[in-house]
Amino acid sequence: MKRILIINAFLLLFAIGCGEKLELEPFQSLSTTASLSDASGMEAALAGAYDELQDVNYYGRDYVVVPEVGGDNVYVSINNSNRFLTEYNYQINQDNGFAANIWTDLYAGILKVNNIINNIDNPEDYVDGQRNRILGEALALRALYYFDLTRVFCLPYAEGNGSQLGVPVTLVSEIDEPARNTLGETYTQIESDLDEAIGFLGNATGPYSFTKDAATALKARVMLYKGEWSTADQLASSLLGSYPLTAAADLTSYWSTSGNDSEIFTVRRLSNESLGSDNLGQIYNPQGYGDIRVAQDLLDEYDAADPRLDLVYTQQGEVYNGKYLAQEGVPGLMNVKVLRSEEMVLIAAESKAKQNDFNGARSELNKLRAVRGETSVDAASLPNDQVIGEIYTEKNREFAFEGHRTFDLWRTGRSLERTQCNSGLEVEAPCSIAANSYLRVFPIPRVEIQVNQNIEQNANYGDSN
Amino acid sequence: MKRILLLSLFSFVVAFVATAQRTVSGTVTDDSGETVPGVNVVLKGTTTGTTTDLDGNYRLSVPEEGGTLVFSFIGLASQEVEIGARSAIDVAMASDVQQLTEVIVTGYNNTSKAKLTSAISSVDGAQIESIPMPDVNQLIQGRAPGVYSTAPSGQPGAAQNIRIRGTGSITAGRGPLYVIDGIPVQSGDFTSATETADVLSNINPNDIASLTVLKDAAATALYGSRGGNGVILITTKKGKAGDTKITARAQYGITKPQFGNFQMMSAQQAWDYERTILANSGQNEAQIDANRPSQMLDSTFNWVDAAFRTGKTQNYEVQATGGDESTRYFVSGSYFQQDGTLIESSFSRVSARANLDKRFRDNIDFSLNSNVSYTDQLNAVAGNRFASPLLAAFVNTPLQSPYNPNTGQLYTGQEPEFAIFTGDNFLYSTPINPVTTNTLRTLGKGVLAWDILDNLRVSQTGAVDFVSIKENSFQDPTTNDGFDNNGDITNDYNENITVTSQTQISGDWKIGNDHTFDALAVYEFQKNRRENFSAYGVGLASGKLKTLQSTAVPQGVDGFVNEFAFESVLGQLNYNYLNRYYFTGSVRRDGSSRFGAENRYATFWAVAGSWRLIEEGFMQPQNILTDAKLRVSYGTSGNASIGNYASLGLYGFGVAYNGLPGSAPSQIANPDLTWETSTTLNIGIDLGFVKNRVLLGAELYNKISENLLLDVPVSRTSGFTTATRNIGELRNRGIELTLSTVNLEGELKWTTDFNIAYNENEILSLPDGEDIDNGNQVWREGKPIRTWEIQKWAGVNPADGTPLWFTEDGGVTGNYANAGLFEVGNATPDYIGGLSNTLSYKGLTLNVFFNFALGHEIFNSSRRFIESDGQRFGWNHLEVAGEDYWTAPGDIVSRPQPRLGGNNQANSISTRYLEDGSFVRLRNVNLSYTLPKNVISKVGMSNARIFVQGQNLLTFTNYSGFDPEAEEDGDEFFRYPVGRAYTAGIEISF
Repeated sequence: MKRILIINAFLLLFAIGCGEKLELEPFQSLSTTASLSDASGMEAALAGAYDELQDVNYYGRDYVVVPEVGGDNVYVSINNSNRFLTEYNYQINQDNGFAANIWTDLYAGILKVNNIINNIDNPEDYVDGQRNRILGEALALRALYYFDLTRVFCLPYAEGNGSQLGVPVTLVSEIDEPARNTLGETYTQIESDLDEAIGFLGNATGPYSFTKDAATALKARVMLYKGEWSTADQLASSLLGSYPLTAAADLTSYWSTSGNDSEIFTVRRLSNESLGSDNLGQIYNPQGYGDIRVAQDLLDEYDAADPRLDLVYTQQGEVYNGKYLAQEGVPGLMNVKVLRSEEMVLIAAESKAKQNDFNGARSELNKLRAVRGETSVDAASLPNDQVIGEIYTEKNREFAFEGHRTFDLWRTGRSLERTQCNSGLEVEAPCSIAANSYLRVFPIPRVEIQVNQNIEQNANYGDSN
Repeated sequence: MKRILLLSLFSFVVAFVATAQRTVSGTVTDDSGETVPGVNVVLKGTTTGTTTDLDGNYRLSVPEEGGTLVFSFIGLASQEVEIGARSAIDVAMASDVQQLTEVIVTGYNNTSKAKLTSAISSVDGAQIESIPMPDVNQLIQGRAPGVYSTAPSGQPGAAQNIRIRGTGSITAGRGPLYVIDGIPVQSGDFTSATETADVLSNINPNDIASLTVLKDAAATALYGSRGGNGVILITTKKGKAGDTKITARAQYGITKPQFGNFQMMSAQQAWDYERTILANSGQNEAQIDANRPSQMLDSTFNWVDAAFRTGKTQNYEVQATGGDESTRYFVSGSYFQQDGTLIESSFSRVSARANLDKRFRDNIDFSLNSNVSYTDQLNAVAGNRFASPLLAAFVNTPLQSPYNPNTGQLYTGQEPEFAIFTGDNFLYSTPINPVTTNTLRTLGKGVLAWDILDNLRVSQTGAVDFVSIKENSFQDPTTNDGFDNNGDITNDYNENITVTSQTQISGDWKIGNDHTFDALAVYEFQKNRRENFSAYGVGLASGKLKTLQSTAVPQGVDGFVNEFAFESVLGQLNYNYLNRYYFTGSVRRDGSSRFGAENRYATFWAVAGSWRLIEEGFMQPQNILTDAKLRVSYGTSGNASIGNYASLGLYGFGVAYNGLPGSAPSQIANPDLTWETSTTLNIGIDLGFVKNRVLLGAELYNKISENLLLDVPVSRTSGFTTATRNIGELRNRGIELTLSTVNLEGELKWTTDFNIAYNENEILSLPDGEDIDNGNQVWREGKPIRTWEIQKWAGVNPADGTPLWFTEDGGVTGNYANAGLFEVGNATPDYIGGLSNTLSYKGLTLNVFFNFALGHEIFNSSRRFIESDGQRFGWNHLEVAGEDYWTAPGDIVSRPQPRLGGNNQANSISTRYLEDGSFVRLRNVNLSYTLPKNVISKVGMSNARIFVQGQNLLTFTNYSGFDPEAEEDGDEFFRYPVGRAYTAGIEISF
């Protein structure tokens, strides 16, 4: 009897254990299908895709700073917080943090937009035009992500006419080991995304999200990088009527505010999205890290009366960048102006000059010079053979600290020459980088090489698989 | 199913038979004839029992047919006495060094050392009592073989990491399961904003009766999917029958900061060194004078002295225990307070406990354990932040004073002339930017048990573990951290509640006289819910207002909810033949909400056997061995310590753009995700020599962990960096030895306890056999999981003072980018252990305790930071950085020529900063004096003891950083150093 009882008792316990109490759903996440099933879910996914632009590794800071510290506009002070050193002194290898971060973040962005584009017809509750706007913005963002990847990892288009290595083009994000497409194929995807985006978009929502004009401006820049001069010229010129150039008198307020008339696409950063000491400006501002200071090379490019000199200032004998002091009342916080009309003028000027339309080029250049306190140039003061050089210099004067410098040097086949170099103020670094140096592109990060059998490393950066 | 239920209930009713009772009483004495109070008297095979009163008397109800009484007391050999027809039984107990009958808590039930079939280490509460540390995990170090405790911080209240028999997982949890009085509890760090805080520091270590560490599968299989990393059972003190005994303890101590071999330059040294750097970089005398003028020496400052202080510890405690045959209680209240050696760091705890046991109607008992504690932790900012005094003390140049020479006031850090690159003056900011953590923990447990028959017991346990954590961090608008936002406040509130229900049936029976069985079955359900709410505001009119309400701009609110549940059934069967052969089999079926729908349930099992050779006839003629036992166990357990929703494909909603809420893919779906499983073979041997004055124990184990949950790196072109997969295999195998000896007996008594554990960790397989990068370490098949793989330092080029590294092909290079990666040791010690010696003479007792860890490498990231060959010009530098550096061609030196901006990245990661972390530490010395009874009894006391103790008095190591007892990953970066503590205390009982 007793034994039966014991056995029964044990059976009883085992009988209890078959509940449905273990089905627990998360509280702050949704499954992938559920989150892309309605219009509001799509809008959230789109906002999430834009959010990638705010990342400190991307337009939050690093993508704007690296092309500057790699150039000759600025130097990294010997009193520094150990940031951007390898990009300044070109001690770049497969473990470079910037390269790894950009690779990771931009493909994370591509996943976000791919999911939007591939699920665009799931929702059934769009209001008029909503589907096309969301799709257009996602396509334009994808083009931006791919284009920005090529600037970091691929040799200039002119060097192989597109036959050189591009980046893997993935239109459906999945776990795979894709090989690199050619740069030509990568550009083809960028152009087709932009063309589609231009077709889907209108102009009601700028400058903090992609509009038809923003996609057009991006395409103008892409065409410039590709050397398709007439298309670049035509696209850039088409925008000038709608986006007036900023007047000299407004320059200071232009940099302390955002949403000004000349802005075509700007990455929004609200005051509650401050990155604190990692705000873009704080790497320049002495109240922040203050590591990066203005080199004599840049100062020498300005006339003494140039109003843009108001955007730098001197403290304790060294010159600092004053473009990024503060916005939204937060030191160093910046709504980064990714595309603005001043660039469109210079694209038009450069494209015309490249097509030997030097008068046209001078005329475009003069539009900007007029609002920068510079005298107009003509064939006498600026002979044809000096036009292109002057356009390059004007580009640097206008866009100093905005993340164009090394991209422009390499794109135009120039070398880097640092005149202010190893003077005792700066961290030790090379004073020049040849126009054909392998260091112009970053290596595919080791973290990718290790898991992707099919990816090819850039030249001189060690073994690839 | 219903039919089985009904049938079972029916059988209960039918089988319920009452039994008649009678009473047995007597007196217990020791070998000197003195009566012994507090002896446990238990009717064998039941939970019926009592303890002797102050005069050594007991009285106990026993069944009419009699039975066996078991008398046990720590320090005396247990005795079993057949009751027979007697009603008065007096017992004389002999002293014993080792209790083979000592009760060992094994989780869901208890056993004795003689019957043990599994690998278990016990630490008696007396061994850890009154050591002035807030966290029980800190006390276990070196005392249980194979158990290693590390801490990311020496901050009072910091979370500790315990590893049992090596590291059993790569990416899932690696810490043991903690079980307090039978209930699995939450452990670890549940704070959101605080750098480190451990909910276990809410438990008063002096309430602990014993700690048991379950190591092999036979012991851990009962905990199934949660036992894979070992289990630590904490048993709190229970009441003892007898007159109420009150014990009061007061303790006070100081802690001196210690930095080991880590010494900074003086102002003069730093000034000289930096002038040399400038000269080496080609600056002329005028430039050097302009850069480092001699006036700088007029306002120098020792930042380290300012950041650290003498800490203090105080502890006050009252315990009361007592009761009678049917009711026993233990209550305690304590206050513990510790000021850390770093400014603005402290920890205090108020705790109360009541443990109550009541038996009535002879066959029903209930018990109630309740513990409430409240801690208040003030956190200095962690050492990886520039605003931390921990980091800033060492990096701030001594050539800059924190005081404005004109006003005598502290700089806020924002002044342009304040030449500290961080823009922060911690002496100003730390006191006014407090980060506080307050934790309230309530642990309550009730058990109702019914002895249906004298050999069948059912019990129902309900338990609640409630942890609420409030965090508050404040940044004053005038400080560097608060400046950007004009001051800010973050409030964080966490609530973590775990409810557990256990239904348990246990019974035992005999077949004939030689075959004894006992069995256990348990149904357990546990559910946890964690809620978090936080709010953040900026813009303060004044730093004096420290509530959210006074912020001008609310910046963000955030919150999350997480849940998990476990549902389990388990059973165990023990069989014993002739007290010579023991067999245990156990099985547990576990379900968890954490796993994919395809793999929600799993079964774990273990078998074990032991053979007490000493009981065999052929052992009788010899008298060398006084105990001999062989144990073998084999079985499985699991590791379910992963994220709560790890199997689902998810979009997260924490982001926003332009004021619009955003979403982003946060996780790839994996419906096949399941537990990690480990399989352990354990062979143990226990030997006793010379009347058990020498006890030797050895354990040999081989533990293979499979289905490791690995965050497998994937091509980032997928948009993800990793995906969680059940891939990978890991092995830990090793040997543990314990040796306890009684070297001297008599008036002067000397005992020694020594333990050493060797563990070999090896990754057996990884996805596709490919290496996985883990920072400066690599996961590679055939290697331990903490294997360093970094550049190898080749010294300084005598020709020009530049650094050299080895290349992959064996050459050397001056270009860091071309340096090869080499496997250069690992961060986990090969050998760990401890040595404890206790000497006692009359009332005096001296205990000296060493612990050690040998054979591991630590990466000294702190040194890399401030021995940078000029890269960090304008910071302070390690004193040794100014020695033995290159000055002229031909110099054979250890350091490159210091230059502005560093010398060719000489301070990049390399073996230059990798050091042997082996150490032997005099961890604890305790001298106590128990006042003679004839003196204290005159003032009504039953016991009085005074004691002094020292902690971390000596450390023998070649490591150049603060403390070789580094964090688990072996990377030391300005970790809050542990101090050298001295305390004195008094304990009196009435």
